[in-house]
Parts: sequence; structure tokens; C-alpha cells
Amino acid sequence: MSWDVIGQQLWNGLLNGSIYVIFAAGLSLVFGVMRVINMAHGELTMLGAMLLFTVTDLVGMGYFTGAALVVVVMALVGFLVNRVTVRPFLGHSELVVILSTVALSFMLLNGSLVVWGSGPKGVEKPFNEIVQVGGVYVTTASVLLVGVCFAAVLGLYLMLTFTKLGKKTRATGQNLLGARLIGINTTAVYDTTLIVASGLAALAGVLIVLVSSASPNLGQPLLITGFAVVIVAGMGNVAGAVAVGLFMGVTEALFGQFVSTYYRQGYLYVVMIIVLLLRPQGLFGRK
Amino acid sequence: MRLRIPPGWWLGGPLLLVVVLVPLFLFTNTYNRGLLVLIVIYAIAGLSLDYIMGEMGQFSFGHAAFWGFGAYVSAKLALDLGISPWIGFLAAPAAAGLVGLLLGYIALRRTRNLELAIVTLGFGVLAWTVALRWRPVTGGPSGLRQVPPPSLFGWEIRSELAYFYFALLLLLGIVFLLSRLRTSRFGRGVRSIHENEDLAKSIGVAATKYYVLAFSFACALVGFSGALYAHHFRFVNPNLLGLDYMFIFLIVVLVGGTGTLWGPVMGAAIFVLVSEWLRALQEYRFVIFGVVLLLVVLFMPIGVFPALQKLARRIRGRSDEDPDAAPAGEDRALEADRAG
Repeated sequence: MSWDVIGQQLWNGLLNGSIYVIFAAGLSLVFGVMRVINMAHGELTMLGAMLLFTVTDLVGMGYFTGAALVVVVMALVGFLVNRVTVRPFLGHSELVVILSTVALSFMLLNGSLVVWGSGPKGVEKPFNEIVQVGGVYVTTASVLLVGVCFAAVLGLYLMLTFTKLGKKTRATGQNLLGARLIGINTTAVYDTTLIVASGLAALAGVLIVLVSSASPNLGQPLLITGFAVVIVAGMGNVAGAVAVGLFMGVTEALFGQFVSTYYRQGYLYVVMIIVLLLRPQGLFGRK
Repeated sequence: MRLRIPPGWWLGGPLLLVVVLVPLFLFTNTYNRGLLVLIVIYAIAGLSLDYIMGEMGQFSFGHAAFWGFGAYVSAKLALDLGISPWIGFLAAPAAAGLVGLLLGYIALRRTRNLELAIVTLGFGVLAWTVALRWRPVTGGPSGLRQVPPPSLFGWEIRSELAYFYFALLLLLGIVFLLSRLRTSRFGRGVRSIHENEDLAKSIGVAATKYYVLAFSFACALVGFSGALYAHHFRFVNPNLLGLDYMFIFLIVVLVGGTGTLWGPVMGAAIFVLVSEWLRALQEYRFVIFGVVLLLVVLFMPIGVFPALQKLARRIRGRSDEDPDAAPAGEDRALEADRAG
């Protein structure tokens, strides 16, 4: 084994890890604030990628304009997701909300298959030179991906920590009734939570096409990986999800290179089960 | 001990009669009769999932993995070792129950509710990955074919109608077993943990032990359903362990109604028949299916069967406690009323 190979896999892992981070952050945010498992989160990412394909390939928009438009539109879709599939069901058991989001993912996935067909769709990248950095091949598009991911996660962190909205959001997540008692409009908080989460999901979607292609089937595997990240980090812990997402991406790539490509996805779940055995609340969760 | 009619039979009984007789007249070709078998198999799987959801008040996203596992165990025994499907019908639940015991022991000691849901999801996907990748044993993505049907004194139960009645008989037995289990000491113990775990522990219910055993029982039951599937449709593949079937079982239970024995049975019939009717819409059918599902959950969050029970009670003009009503369904209804 050579250092070049390790370096290449580290970079590849960082790429995948960035996607996991941004995806799991949204999933974890929704769970942490609303105690809702959003089974449609993967399909929101998929929809982001497919919409980007439509506006760039069929309408002829540039990548950056298209991506910005898609993220904004999908953020608004997040509002609808809350009003149509989450909010009406919150009074019932948590499982009913799972079922309603499953229904939504059914609609989105199969609707997309009808509209776009099941084949992968390539999206033209804004730039795609290959640079060699010390034996590791890096495309410029993938550098953009990693940069945007980190910027988005940093933005989310700053928003949650320092803005008034972020404080309201955290308060709502900690104690819904208490938050209402001190006059926080929790309905608005729930709306914004899903708007942000859906925007992040779509952002993951428009970034994925930089390194692979858009396809209606990309949502479900991502959702499953996202859950593994979220649970290893500790449910609802956004900062933990970031660290674990990166760790999972990198170790998964190394595992794929040196142990078995075949069981790559299984690896994540073995890690998950081991973590749960040793620390059931997740690595960063508090009991 | 006086033999009491189990709760829910006053509505379920006549329904059952319809179910037994209708196929003879309405479902006349092989394909349609295959759907009937599917209803019964889904009903058993739904009942087992509902044991976790309705009785334990928990959720397992790995339930389909046990279903597929049961199917593989029985198919494998029959194909590789030539062991009779009848033994497979016993071995599949035994194996699934054992793995369920192990998973339950790991997961239930520490996690509950949504955390448990995610842990079991992880387990389910892991199982699916193994089934997909471990080609020498599982046959890889294409699975195993030519699984033999069970035979009775040399007569192979291949015909859809025969298998349907055979499975229906088993379903009835399982409903009866479950109705007895619910009122048994063990069943009441499980319910008490569902109601209030700390309180149950304080009066001496070994909460984790009960939950682990109950979980293992549900896994065994769904493993049995999987074996029934394998020997009728005569193939197994990794998809059986996957999320698609998990969603189907979830739909069966929640649409039918949790905590009522007849709910999942009805849910299975509704699921199979509605998705069949929607087949005419071709590729749009799953989109419409999602819409239908959302509407059902929106307007009948307690499920179809409890909603019917409520309606029937209103028609009979009895607002007080109905001795025949399934207690769990009523509790759910009240809960939903309060919340809404």
C-alpha cells in the first residue's frame, strides 16, 4: 500500500463525508427540534438534484443560478412538507408522523420516476479541471463541494448559537411546553426548522451532482446512511452529526479500499451497532 | 375457566366469514387467488409487527429483515438439505426468534421509542446488505429459486386456493393465540410496561426481560410469515429483507389500526386490494398510493378497524364501556381525541 492510495481515499472519504455531514445535519435538526423522523429527507435531496438537472439541462440555466434557485424553492417546499405531512399529525403517536413522511417519500420518489425515468442524469459542472496535489487527484468541482458544505454547516452552527431564531429553535427542542410558556411561537419555529432542513437537503442534492449524477434513486441509500450517522452521533445532536459524518465518510472509504468494497455500507452499520453497545446515547449524546 | 369470545370477534367474525366465502366466487383466476394468499401472509406479518407496536408500544424498523430471514431459513433448508417445508415452518420462527432474542437483548436494554426504531433500522439494513452480498449462501441479488411447496401425504399444496385456506387456518390460530396471550400474565405484564415502565418495574415486572421475550416472539411470528411466503411464491431474494416490505407492514398495521387484532388483518386486505386496483394507473399508482395513504392517516389516524368499531358502537347507541371492544383501540381513540 502506498501513501498515494491512502491520500486518495482520504480525499474521497472527505468528499462523501461532506455530503453525509450536510445531509445528516438536516435530519438531526428535525429530530432534535421536533422529535420527528423525517423519512422523506432523502427524497428532498433527490428532488434537489433532479430539479437542478431540469433547470440546467432543459431550461438552460447556469449551474450556480440553477443551484441557488433550487435551494430556495426546496426551502419553500420544506414549509409545505411541515404543513401537509408533519403538523397535522403531531397530536398523534410518533409513528403516525413516520407513516405520513413515508407516504410523502412514496409520492416524491415515484413521482420523480414518472417525470424523469430511472436512469442517471448528468449535470454539466461549472468547472471540472483535475489537479494533482502531492499524488492525489482532485477535481476542482469537488473542492467546491467540500467548501460549500463546510460553509453551510458553519452557517447553521452560527445561526443556532448566536441568532435569536437559533435560540428559540434550541429552546423549542429542549422543552416544547416551556418554550410556548415563555411566548415562543413554536409553530413558526417548526416551520423554519423544516425550511432550513429541506434547504440543506436540497443543497446536498445540488452538490452531489458535482461528483456523480442525479437519479431518482439516490435518496433512499442516502437516508439510510444519514440515519447511521445521526444515531452514532447521538440523536438530535447537530454538531456531533458533523464530526461523525466526516469520520464515517473517511473511514468508509479506507474500509472500501483496504478491507472490502463489497461490504462498504455494511461497515457503517457495524460501527453503529458497536457504538450503541458501548454508548447507547451516541458518541455525543447526553443521557 | 370460562371460554370467553376474544374481543373484536363480533365484528371480525362475520368479516371472516365473508373472507372465507368470497374467494370462491369473486377471485376466480390464479393471479387473483395469489393475492388472497398475500393478504393472509401480510396479515400475519402485520399482527406480529402490531405485537411490538400495539402491545409493547415500541417500533422495529428491522421487522422485514426477520420476515426475509425466516423466508431464507426455510427455503435454504428445503433447497440444500432437502428438509420438508413443514420442518421449515418450525425452524424459520425458531431461528428468527433466536436472532430477535439477541437483537432485543442488545437493543431493548438500552433504547426505547424512536431510538429503538433507528437501531432496528440499522440492523435491518445490515441484514439486507448481507443477504445481497453473501452470494454463496444467499444467492446474491437474484436470491434463491425453485423453493418447493409443502406437501401433504404426497399432495403438493401448489394451488392458490388450497394454500389460501391453509394459511387462513393458521392466521385464525394466530389471532386466537394472540388474543389469549394478551390476557395472559405475560401479556398483561408487557402491557403494564407499555403503560408506565417505571411503575411496572416498581411492582416487580422484570421490564427488560418481558420486552426482550415479547420482541423475540414477534420476530418469530414474522419469521413464520416469511416462511409461508417463501414456500408459496417459491423464491426468496434480498428485497424481502428491505425497506419496501417494512413500509408495507407499517402501512398494514397503521391503516388497519394498532392494538386491535383484526386491524392488521383488515389493513392487509385493504393494502393488497387497493394497490391492486391502482395497478390500472400504471406508473402513477405509487404516487396515488402515497396520496391515499396520507389521506387515510389524516382522516383515520387510529386506523380503519377502530374507526369502524367506534362507528358500530355509535349505531348501537352504546356510549358506555363496551365489553366486546378491544381495550387498546379504545385507548388509542381516546388519546387521539384528547390530542386533537
